Amino acid sequence: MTPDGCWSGFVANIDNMKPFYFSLSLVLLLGGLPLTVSANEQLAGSWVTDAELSTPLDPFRRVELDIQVEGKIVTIEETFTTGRRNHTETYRIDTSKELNRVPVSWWSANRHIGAYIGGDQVMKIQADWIDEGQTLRLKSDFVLETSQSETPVRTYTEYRISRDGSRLTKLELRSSRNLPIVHVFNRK
Amino acid sequence: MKLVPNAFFFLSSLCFAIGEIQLDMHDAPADYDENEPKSAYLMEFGTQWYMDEDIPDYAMLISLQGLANQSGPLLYFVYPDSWPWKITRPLKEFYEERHNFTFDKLFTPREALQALGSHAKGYVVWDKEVRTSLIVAFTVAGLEDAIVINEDQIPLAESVGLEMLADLRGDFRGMNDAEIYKIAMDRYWDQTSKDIVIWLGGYHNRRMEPGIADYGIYRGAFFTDLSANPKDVEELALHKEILEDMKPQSFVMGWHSYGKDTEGQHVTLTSSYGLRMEGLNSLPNISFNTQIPWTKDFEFKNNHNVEPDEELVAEEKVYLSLIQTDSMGIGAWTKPGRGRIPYAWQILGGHALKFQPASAQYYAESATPNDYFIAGLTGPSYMYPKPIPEEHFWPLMELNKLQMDVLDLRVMEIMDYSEGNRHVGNTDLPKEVVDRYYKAYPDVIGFINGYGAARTFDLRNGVPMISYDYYLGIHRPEDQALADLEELIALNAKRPYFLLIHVRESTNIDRVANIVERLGDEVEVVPLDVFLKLAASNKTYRTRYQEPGDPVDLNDF
Repeated sequence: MTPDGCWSGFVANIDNMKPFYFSLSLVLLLGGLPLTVSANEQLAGSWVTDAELSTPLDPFRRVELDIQVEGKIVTIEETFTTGRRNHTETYRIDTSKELNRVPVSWWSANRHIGAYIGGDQVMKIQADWIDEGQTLRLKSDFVLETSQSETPVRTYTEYRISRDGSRLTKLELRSSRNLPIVHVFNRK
Repeated sequence: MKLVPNAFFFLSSLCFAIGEIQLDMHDAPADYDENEPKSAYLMEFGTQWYMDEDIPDYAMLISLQGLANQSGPLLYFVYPDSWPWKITRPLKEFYEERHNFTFDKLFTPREALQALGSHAKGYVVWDKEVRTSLIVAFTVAGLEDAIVINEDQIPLAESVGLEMLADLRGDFRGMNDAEIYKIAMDRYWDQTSKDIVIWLGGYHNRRMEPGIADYGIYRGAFFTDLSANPKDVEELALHKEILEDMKPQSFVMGWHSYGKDTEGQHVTLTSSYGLRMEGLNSLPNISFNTQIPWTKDFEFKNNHNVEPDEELVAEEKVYLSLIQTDSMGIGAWTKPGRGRIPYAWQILGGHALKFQPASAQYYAESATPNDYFIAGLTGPSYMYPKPIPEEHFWPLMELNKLQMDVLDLRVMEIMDYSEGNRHVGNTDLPKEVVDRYYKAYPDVIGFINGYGAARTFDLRNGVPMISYDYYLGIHRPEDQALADLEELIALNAKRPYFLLIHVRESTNIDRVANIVERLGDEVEVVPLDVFLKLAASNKTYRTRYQEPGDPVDLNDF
């Protein structure tokens, strides 16, 4: 090892390596990084919104996610808090299933507008892992009830984990809304 | 001397009673003459409302105000710009211009005591170590005609010849509020008013904003900030004991304690006894304002845009209407943009007729053609309809109708936080409550429901009940608000679409106008009475009441 640290030594010695030993070294090195097999498990844990970096949360002050990843089952508990009031909605999703039917008691995405979970109060959710397990992707279909009628709505949602596993970014596009919604969470 | 409330002199020949229901009116004498020269004292308050700042002086002065004003409107305070109620300065100018008042300015507590100390019989000392002792001292002040001071102010009080009438130092140390108020009730409750009780809540701990205390002293009321939170078992029991003892349809004035319970818990409880909530704890100068009636030349006239029996026909477009609630005094009336677009303003009958009639005249006379007044909230005061026992509902609504007649109001607004709020649960009305309102108000042109978005809708005999479809918060960024409204318009695809917006208190109108003007030509902003008539013409909204499966948040009850 050189005085500049291990990376300097590694680069300096690359030219002297046989191809086999170079490949072996690379595999061993990458094996130490939190990628692939264990990446989606990084989603697990408790997360709390960073209001500064997020689309406004109002009327709530804080959103927390408690996420469990057990094999193909992802359980997302989403708790909205303001003052003394809070509400928790739970989404249990099987990523191996073509379609998940998740009961929803309460549509929480925008409490400023007169829109409520309608139809059979179920979200139909397709889920998969992308980006080598760094991102959980959900495609949801549900019905919103408004003063006039019930309207089918779809959302595209990604839960993206930062490389170091400390930050979770939830991106959402809703077919009825012109602006995307971005909520940034820090690990509790 | 306690003044006896009198009816408006210019309305005294009219009958404002149905059976035993009578309007609560201001305290001006029957021979009040606005042209007669009057003099009063004026002080300006600063911004240091913490217990270790200027609260001792402010509390003493407010108690002095309550005592002095028992002899007529003698002491008026201008509160700082940051105070929740914004019109103390414009109202003072109104008194000068329309009621021939001349104000002599006082600058220090000593000057105030030298000028008005003779209206007090002595002083009560509150304990600097126990914040709640100051709230108890306000009760003593009204009963004993005492100013409230702490031990540091004794030399000042005695320098103007006042003697100690009560000393609370040491009485309550180590006690919780339930223990303190139990002692206070044992000592004073039998002697205090059963027409009015003061909840001196709001800020807790280090800060206090006792603007309403002058009126409580003026009326000899009991002061407290007991909790309505079921977790506070002992406080809640005392709280209920007080409310049970009040006269029917009497007043709970002030506000709940932010440190103990929620607005929903507090107003649910007062409503369940059929009592009338009049906020806030910071409400200023009521002992002065209640003695100033409307001027003789004034009649409260609303800016109606349609006749009660007029029929309008909606076109295939989006009709949008805006309502500013939370009472006008803490709202946007004095902020930029008023008059730029049609706006409806909730006016509280109790404030307009009893507690501060001149403020209602000030609002009415400064209204632009785009300002339209509606009645609220739920009844003659701030209440929730679902918890009101039916035997109290009807007399309360009769009283409210009397208020609406005098104030020329044709739209009734309803709000219910007993099973939720704008965040969780619901703010909707079951069919039986809607039935009651239609029966109680045969002459209104429409009902409004909600605070945040709600989904109680109806149309009967050309009278719609419309819930808010949107809540515009104070801090909602304009781009997000625009996206919210565009989303609602997309989700409600039929035309006409009737989009009713609640604008939260201090949001200024220029901001609101900037948002709605970006919605495009399909959207027309219309006055609320026009909106309701149009909504009656083409019912594209579905009849809906609160349903058994709707989310409920019971405030921990």
